[in-house]
Amino acid sequence: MARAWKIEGLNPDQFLKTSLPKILRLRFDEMWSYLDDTIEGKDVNPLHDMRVSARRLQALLRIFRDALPKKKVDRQIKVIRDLVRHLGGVREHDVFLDALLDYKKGRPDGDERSVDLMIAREKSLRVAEQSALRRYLLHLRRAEYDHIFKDFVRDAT
Amino acid sequence: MARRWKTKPKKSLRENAQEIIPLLFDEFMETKVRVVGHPRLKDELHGMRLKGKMLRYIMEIAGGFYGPAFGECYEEIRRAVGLMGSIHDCDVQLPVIQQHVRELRAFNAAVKSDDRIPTAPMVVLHHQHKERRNTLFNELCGILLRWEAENFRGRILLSMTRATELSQP
Repeated sequence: MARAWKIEGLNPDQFLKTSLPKILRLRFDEMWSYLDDTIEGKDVNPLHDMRVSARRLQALLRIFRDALPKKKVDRQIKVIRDLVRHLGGVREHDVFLDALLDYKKGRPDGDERSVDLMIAREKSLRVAEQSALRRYLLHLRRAEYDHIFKDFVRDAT
Repeated sequence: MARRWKTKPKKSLRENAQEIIPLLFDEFMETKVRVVGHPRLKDELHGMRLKGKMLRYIMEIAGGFYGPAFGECYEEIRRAVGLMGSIHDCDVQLPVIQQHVRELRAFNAAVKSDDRIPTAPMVVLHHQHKERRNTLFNELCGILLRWEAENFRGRILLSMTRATELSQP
């Protein structure tokens, strides 16, 4: 899992309204940096990293909700929450598939059709979730959600 | 449930963190007794984990200015929340495995014996998952009980106060 990006030049003794935009922008950039690779879907890691970053951002928006305009921040929380759900829908199958493949590797040779069936089922469910996620991410990219979020941060703080 | 904390834009990030972190810790630990005493309460554990994530991510930021002692506390929170995540994975997967075994048994009952699919590998997997969940759960309980015995909350507060004092000119 990728570590959180370090927030350079953060002065904790500045007013929250001064430091919060810096924190939110960086956490957003961190999340958004995994977008293209997650859409491409060749590797499971960018998806996992994007999910963790999105959760970081979601937690911060919730914690600092009082310092931001309520209606606007709630709209952003909803977008990020939906994103976390979509990412989680795929990740859940990745975690399970990992466990199943590991388990199968450690099994003695024999009739393992029950495990193979479970793996096939998980893979098929993953494809469905991945395609829903891809649609959502493409929608965010087309809508230039990065600009929307940064405008929100600029206007709200 | 209503939030206990309120962020103040006209106070510094440090002052806000100093107020929020103990309150988030209290929220996180609110259901500890029920979670530790009732290993099967999956929803309570999941709820506790979600609160733990809020605490974890604010501590991650505050780690940049509260120094190494606070960083050690953050690592402990991260570890506990990580364990909760692994337990949650088991809680999600166990019913899926169980349902798969049920379906295989129904299939086996409807076909000739030559066509039956052995369910043993999935039964063993189910058993292993349950064992793993128990091990992780016991480890988590050990951490939560140790925190109480060692006044971990006090340690977090002290690390914040000391770092703040050191930062004053």
